[in-house]
Amino acid sequence: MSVLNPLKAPAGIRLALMGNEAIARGVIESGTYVVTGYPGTPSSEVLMTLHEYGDGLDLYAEWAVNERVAFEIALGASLGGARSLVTMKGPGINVASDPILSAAYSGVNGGLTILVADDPGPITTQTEQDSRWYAKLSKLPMITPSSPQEAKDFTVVSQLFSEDIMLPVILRTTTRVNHAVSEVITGDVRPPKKYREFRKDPPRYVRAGMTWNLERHKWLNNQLKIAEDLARKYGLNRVLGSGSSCVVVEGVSYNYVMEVLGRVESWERKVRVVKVDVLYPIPRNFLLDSLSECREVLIVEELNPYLEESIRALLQDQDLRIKVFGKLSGYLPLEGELNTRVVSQAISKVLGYEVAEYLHSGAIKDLEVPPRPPPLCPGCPHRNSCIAMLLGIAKAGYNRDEIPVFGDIGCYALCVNPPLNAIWTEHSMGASISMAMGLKVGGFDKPVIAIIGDSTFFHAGIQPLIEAVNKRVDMLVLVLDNSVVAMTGHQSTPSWEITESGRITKPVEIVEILKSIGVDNLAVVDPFEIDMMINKVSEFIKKPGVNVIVAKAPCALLKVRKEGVKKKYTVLSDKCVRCLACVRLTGCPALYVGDDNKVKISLDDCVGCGLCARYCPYKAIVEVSPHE
Amino acid sequence: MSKDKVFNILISSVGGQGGLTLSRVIALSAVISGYYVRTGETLGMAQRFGSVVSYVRVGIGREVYSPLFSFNEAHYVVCMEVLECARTLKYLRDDGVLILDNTIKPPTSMSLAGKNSTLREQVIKQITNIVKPENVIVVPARDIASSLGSSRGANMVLLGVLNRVSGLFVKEKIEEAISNFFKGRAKELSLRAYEEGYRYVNHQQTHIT
Repeated sequence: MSVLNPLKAPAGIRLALMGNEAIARGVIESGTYVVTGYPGTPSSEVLMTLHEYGDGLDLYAEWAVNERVAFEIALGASLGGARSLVTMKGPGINVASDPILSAAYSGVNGGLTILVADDPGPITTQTEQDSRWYAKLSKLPMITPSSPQEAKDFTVVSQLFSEDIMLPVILRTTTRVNHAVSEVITGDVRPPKKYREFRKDPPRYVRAGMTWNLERHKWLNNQLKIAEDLARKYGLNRVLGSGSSCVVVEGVSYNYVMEVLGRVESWERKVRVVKVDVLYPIPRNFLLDSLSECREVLIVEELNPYLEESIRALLQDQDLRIKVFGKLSGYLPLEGELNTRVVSQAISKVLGYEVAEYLHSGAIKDLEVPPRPPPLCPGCPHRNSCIAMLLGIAKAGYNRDEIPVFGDIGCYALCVNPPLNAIWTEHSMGASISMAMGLKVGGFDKPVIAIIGDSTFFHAGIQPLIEAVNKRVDMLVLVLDNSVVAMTGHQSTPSWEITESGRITKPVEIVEILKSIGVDNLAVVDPFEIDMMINKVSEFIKKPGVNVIVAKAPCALLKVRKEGVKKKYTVLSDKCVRCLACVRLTGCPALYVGDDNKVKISLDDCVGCGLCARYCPYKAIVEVSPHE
Repeated sequence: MSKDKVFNILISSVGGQGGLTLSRVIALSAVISGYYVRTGETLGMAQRFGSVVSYVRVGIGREVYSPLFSFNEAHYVVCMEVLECARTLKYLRDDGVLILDNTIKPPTSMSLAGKNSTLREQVIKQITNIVKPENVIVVPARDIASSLGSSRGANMVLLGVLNRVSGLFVKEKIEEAISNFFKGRAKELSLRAYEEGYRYVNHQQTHIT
C-alpha cells in the first residue's frame, strides 16, 4: 500500500490526520482556490501540507510576507468570487486586524475563511492571547472545531457560511486541535472556485465615504441576524445528553468534558452538554432553548470568560435565575490550558458528581534532573553571530552589560539562554529596531544594537528601519540572514527563487532594500568568518548613523539536509584539561562532559562547524571524518 | 487485548531524536487497525535539543476525546533519553510499564554546571528504585539502531518493544503503518529496527488493566 495523500484521497476514507492536515483537506473539499498566510505555530502545517501533497492541484497556495498582506490577498481574491483562506497564529491576527475590520463593512463574494490558531498554555507563543474577542471587535462570525474531524468539516462549512452571510468567517482553533492527530473521514471534493467577476461598487468597497460607512455598518449588523439560521442549516451547535445539570463547552474543552463524563455512570440522563460551535454572533436562541431548564450551568472554556460573560448577560436579560459557574467565580483558571483533571474537579464541585476518583492516582513522582531549555542547534550561524556581537562589543571597549541588545522573533532569540545571555528584549515581529530607536530618542547615550532575522525583517522590520534612518538615530542593526523562516519549520521568504509550490519568483534582496533606505554603513559578512564579523561589530558600533551588518549563512539544519555532514570534531582526551572553555563560550548541545570529566562531542549531533575547536586554548579539539 | 478501553502512552524525547515520528507511527497504526486515536504534541518551534513530550491515546472500541492525560495515567511511558525519562516519570501509573532507551543526551545546563555523564547510571538506578523492577524495560535502542545502520531508527526499536509488551497492534498493521510513513532506505531500516525491538523482549506484559 502506498502513502495515502490526504489531499487526493477519495471520499469516505479513514485517515490519521493532524488538525492542520485536516484543514488542508478541508481546503480541497471546500473548493478553496487561494490559500495564503504567514508561518506561525500552531498554524503553519495547513500551507505546508498543501505544499507537500498538493502537486498538480489547481490551487494558489503561497506564503505571504506577513499576515496583513496575506489577509488582503485573500480578501482581493474573494471580492472577485474566488474562495480563499488565510492562516495565522494568534498574534498574526493583531497584524492583520486593520484590514479585517474594514472587510466586515465591505463583505465578501467568494467564501473567505480566516484561520487563527491560539495557543493556550502557552506552548510556543509570546502571550496567551484569546482571539475570540476579535470576532466581537470586528463583528465577524467565528466558528470553532473541537477535533481534527471537525477542523476539516468546519473549514468546508466556514466557506459556505461565509458566502451565505457575505462576510469573512473566522475559524478559531487552539494548539490541541491544530496539532492533535486523530482519525478523520474524508468527504467529497469540490472543484476550486476561482475569479468570477468584480463589479465596481464604491459605496460597498470604498471606506472613505462616511455616509457609506454608516450604511455598511447597518448592513453588517443586519447580516448577522441570519447567522443563527445558517448555524442550524450547517448543523452547528449541538446538545448531548439531558438533565438539569448543564455544561457549556466550545472547541477543545468539549473533549475534556466528554472524557470526564465518560467516567460518570449513564451521564446522558443526568447532564446536558451544550456544545457551542459558533462563538460569534452568540447563538442566543440556541442557548436559551438549551439552558432555560437548567438548574445550574458550568461553562468550560480556555483562557478568558468569553462565553461566560455573554451567557451571564443573556440569562440576566431573560430573567432566568440559573446559577452560572466558570472562571468569574473561580471554578476554572484564567491562565494556562485546560486538561481532564482540572475539568473533572470543576465538574465534581459544581455538579456534585464524584468524578475525581475515577482519575487514576499513583505514587510515582518525577526525579529532579538538570533543565533542558531549547538551545541553538549545533553549527547554527546565529551562535556565531551572537558571539561575534558580544566579542565585538568588548573589542570596542564596552562592557557587554552596558550595551542593550534588542532581540526579535526567531531562533536567534534563543541567544537569551546561558551561556550567551545576549538578548535584552524580544517582543513582537519587527520591534527590535523601533524599540532600540525608542531607547535612544528617550535619552540613552551609549550605543544600542537591534538583532533581527531575515524573515522578520521582511515581515515588519523594514518600516522601523526607515524610521530610524529618517530620524538619524545612531544604532547598530544585525540582520541575521539564513534565508528561511527557520523557527516554524523552514518556510520560504521573498528571497527564494522558487517557492514550495514550484512558483518561479523574482527574488527580493535584503541588501538592495537596505541600500535604498539609505543606511549609513552596510556590510555583508559570513558569520563563520567570525574574526571579520567581530571587527565589523566593533567598527560599526562606534560610528554615527544607522549601521547594518548582514550576517549571511544558511540554517544549519537545512545545510546538513542538503549537503550532508562533511566533517566532525572530536576531543583528544589527553589534551583536554577540563577548562570547559568550549562549553562556556558556545553552549553547543553537541558538547558534554563525559564520565572522565573531560569534554566529549556527540558524533550524532556534531555538524563540523569547528567553533569549539577554534576557541579551545589547548588545541584539544580536532577534525575527524564524519564516518568515525 | 481487552476491548472498550483507552490506552495512554507517553513518549518523552529530546527534540530531533524522533519522538514525534514515533507518536505519528503509533497514531497511523491505530487508524489502520480500526481503532480510535488522539495525540497531543508540540511541534513547529525550534524544539531541537529541547524537551519534547507526546501524548498518544489509543481507543479500542471506544472513542478518544482528550488529546492529553494527567499524571499517573499512562499505561506505557516510552523514553528516548534518560533525563527526559526522569522528567516524565510522574505520568506513569503505578502498574504501568516503562520502556527506556539508556541513552543520555546531557543538556548544556548540565555541562555548564560541570556535571558529567555518570549521571546516566545514577538516574537509571533511581528510576528502577521508583518503578517496580518488573515494569522497567531498559533497551539500548540507539545502539541497536546504530548497528542496523542509523541511530535514527531508535524510535522504531522502541516501537517494537512497546508492541511486544502491549500487544496493541497485529504485526501486519504496524508494518503497514511503518511502510506508509517512511520511504526508501529509511523504510527498510525502520522495519528492521521495529523487528529487532520486538525480538529484544520475549514476553508480553498483560497485567495492565
